[in-house]
Amino acid sequence: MTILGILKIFILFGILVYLIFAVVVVKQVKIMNATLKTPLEFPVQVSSFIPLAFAVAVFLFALLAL
Amino acid sequence: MAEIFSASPKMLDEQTHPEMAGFRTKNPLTSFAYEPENIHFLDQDAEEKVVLFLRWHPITNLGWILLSFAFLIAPVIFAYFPVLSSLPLGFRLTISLLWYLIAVTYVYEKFLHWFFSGFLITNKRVIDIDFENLIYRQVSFATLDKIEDVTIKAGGGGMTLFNYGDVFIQTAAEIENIEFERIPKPDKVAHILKGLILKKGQLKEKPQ
Repeated sequence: MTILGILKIFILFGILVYLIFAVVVVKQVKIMNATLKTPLEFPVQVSSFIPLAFAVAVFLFALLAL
Repeated sequence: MAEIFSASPKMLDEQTHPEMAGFRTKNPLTSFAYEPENIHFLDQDAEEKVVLFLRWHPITNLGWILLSFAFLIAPVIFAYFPVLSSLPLGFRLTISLLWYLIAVTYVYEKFLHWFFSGFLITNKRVIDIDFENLIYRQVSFATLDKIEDVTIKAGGGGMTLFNYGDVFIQTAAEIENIEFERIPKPDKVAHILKGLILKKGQLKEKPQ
């Protein structure tokens, strides 16, 4: 296995870990919206999916480009 | 689940502070809201009304906002120092995307930290909601009749210029101290709190 191959595995693994973290963030934002109710409840909940979507996009890009 | 409702302009009786009328706002990003109609919290009783809703003063966000701009322009600067030039294009692009992913996460985490970390004073208790990071939160509260001492701390150029500071609330409850940190107008907050505590004491003394 080449150094680039090892680097690819590390990068993909790192993004996978981040994906799990991003799912936890979505759940946590839902809990916080339930704890403190504000008029921005829906926009904030939707925004919690942005890091998750970004991470999925980066993971797919890394799978194809690396 | 508490329903969002339209409350009458004065939630309190004769202890309402008329000088605070100008601080009623519907701005969801406010750091200081007197008797907000659109702020509620979990475990709020039916007869419990939010008197004051506070967040950290907006100026406290300046540090991470500036750092975020630095994160965003860093790849442009690094382009002049080709550190990763030995790597294939795919790797360089992926690493750049990872950098922005981390930057977005940093900005989002800081915003959520400010947005959800709030302090509430109701007609029954004081509540400290602390959203320490994206995966840890702490909610503390103490009833008004357990409050023993209120201390204001505000010092330094920034706090004086932008009129923000800390209000420390000492209680006889299990949680001995509740700290309202970096809030706007700490003097007004302490004044309102004192009024509510005094009113609570008067209600207790009334004959049955």
